[in-house]
Amino acid sequence: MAKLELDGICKGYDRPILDRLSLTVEEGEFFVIVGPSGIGKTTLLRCVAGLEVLDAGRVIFGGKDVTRVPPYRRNAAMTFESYALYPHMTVFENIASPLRARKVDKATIEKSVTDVARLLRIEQLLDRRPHEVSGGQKQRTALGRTLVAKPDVFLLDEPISHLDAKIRHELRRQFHTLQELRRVATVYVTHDYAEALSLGDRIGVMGNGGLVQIGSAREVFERPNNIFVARHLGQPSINEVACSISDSGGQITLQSASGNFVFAAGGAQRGLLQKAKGDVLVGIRPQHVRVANGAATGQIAEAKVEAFEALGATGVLIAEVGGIALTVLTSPEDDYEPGQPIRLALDVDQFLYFDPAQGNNLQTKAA
Amino acid sequence: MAQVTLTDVNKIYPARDRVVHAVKDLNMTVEDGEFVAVLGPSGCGKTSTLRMIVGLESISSGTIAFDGKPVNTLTPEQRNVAMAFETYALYPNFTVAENLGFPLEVRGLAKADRDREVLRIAKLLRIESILDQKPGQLSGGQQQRVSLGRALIREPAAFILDEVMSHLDAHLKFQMLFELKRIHRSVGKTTIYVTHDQVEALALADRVAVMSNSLLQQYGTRDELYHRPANRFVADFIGEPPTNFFAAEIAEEAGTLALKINGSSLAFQPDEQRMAALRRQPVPQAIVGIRPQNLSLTPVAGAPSVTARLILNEYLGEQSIVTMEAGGTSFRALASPDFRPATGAPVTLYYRSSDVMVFDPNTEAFIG
Repeated sequence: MAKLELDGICKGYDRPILDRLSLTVEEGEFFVIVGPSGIGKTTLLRCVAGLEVLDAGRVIFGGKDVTRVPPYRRNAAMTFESYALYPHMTVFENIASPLRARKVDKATIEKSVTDVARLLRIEQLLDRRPHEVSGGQKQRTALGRTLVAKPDVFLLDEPISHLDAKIRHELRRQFHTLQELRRVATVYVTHDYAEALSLGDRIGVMGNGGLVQIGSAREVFERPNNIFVARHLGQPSINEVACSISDSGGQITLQSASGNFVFAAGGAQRGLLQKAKGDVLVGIRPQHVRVANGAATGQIAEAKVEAFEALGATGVLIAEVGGIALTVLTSPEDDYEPGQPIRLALDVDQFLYFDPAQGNNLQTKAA
Repeated sequence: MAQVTLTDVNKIYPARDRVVHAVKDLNMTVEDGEFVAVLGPSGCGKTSTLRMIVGLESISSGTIAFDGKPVNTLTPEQRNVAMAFETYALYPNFTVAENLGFPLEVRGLAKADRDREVLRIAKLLRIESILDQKPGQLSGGQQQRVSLGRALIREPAAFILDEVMSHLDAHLKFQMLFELKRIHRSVGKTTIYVTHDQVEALALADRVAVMSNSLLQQYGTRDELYHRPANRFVADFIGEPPTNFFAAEIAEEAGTLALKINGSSLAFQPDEQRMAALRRQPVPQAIVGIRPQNLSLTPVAGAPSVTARLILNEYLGEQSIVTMEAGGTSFRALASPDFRPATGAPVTLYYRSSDVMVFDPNTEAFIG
């Protein structure tokens, strides 16, 4: 049992991937790293495991510097996206392999493997070989092999992203409830923001060079510190509208830089925008704009339907408002024709404001 | 353009020690201009079906016809079906324009005609600005569009797409779903789309053919699959989070039927129509299915409800998934992201009795 500390780690190939990244994952914490593919999430895990040599910085397990300790002596267990099971061994032997390598006695191995298999509901598969079990069962076998090793640090690389929805939901629940995982420091990597929000005690959103924001699920989703974070979390993606701010006696009006989309800022954000002046990048999540019915109150924008598609569980509407295209969520039962006039209710209090140069959230920057 | 008909189609692969029956007695028609998805888990027979339609695989028995004319003995070229794969298979040394124009060049079209066609397709796919670039310089989504464009440019009888989005990341996938629907609408060609992802299938297709264990389980619209699934498998495979299932006893009290969930105090009330169907059941047991989307935390006047203990609240940004437990059974519901109950708290969920699905406990077929 140990906490994990990363102190200013640097790693690059032809370009820097990790640039002075520092992070502490507490004992018992489930830390999720989310980010677009190719950004360096797996490289970070490999650095922690010792599979990569750092260019600079330190990796510390439980207060002990392990930067120069080889991977097999670090007591970190890693699962790979590709499972990496031994094809000639049974499920039992695969799970037992780290214990056998440590020359643990037979009776203890038998008990540990059976316990873990029961926990993961694969006890009836112990005699099968990897090619005889499904993808979800392979994944659970790989997970069992990591759990049985009782490591100080768990490193999980996209462990469920290739599985069917049903198994994904089941495993997500197991990650929440497995006490074995909740006793050590876990670093979990995924590109799926919903998975990250669901699982992480804290979430690190990774961008070029390192973690752009670290926070709880609600913090990173509702108060992203940068447009990059807002853009990566949520689907369909957040609408981004470049606007100019005008202030007439305390009434703050925003007008889109191109076209003619105009709205008044919400009460809570007035002060902030008064100070910001000039230009601002407005982030509008699709769920914060609704197609208004007759009785709707609040700010309404006249719009026209540009396109509408019912995409399974949701309807996605692209509305043209004063020359700006906004993505709006609707019910899939709805039907809209291109060109049809509609009215949009704007939930302006939920809009996010970023500085156009750096993309930083004006609200979190001020706070 | 073509109507594609499969009649009693079977695919049998002889293996060394046993015979693999990959597709069993498949009957289905894809109408001219229709967008159909063939959906199922890996190994269900969907890829074999697709390969037989294209002509990459022989048909063990039965008939595949385009516009009523059997194509069993025709080569893939003679069938004039265009196919796009999961891997883009673009020529790395050709520019986007050359990749798009290649099928026309093979056919001996003059350069001016080729250029005009390439531009038309590029506009449709919104890739005019990258015509001079090579595949290596493009993003995954752009490569996928070029690959689609090359299939489209051939003016095929039908258009076959095999898992074309499975390795795009979520944002790109969402965009591509939207684009692909738009493109299909403007081209209006018969399209058969093979996928294991129910979200893609429901988003894109006019009708979805759900396959499992070499058999067609159901062929229908999104609404039919969602509200009247042929059996438990379809109900389970369609929709996310997955449908909640409960083993239940059919209990009659004062003229109405209740479905009492085994091992717990929960009971669901089916609507009149289902009650009538349940009364005809030979055994007093049923499997109850209810979708997480159909269990609401907001009280609905007059609606029946169930109360259970909250064991997990997963905040997902736009929504939350809550998991409840009652007497050893657990199930999920969708909640607003603002919902913040304490774990262990009792939660009451309201539902419409018309959303309670019932299945036969032995055959798992849909009762009502």
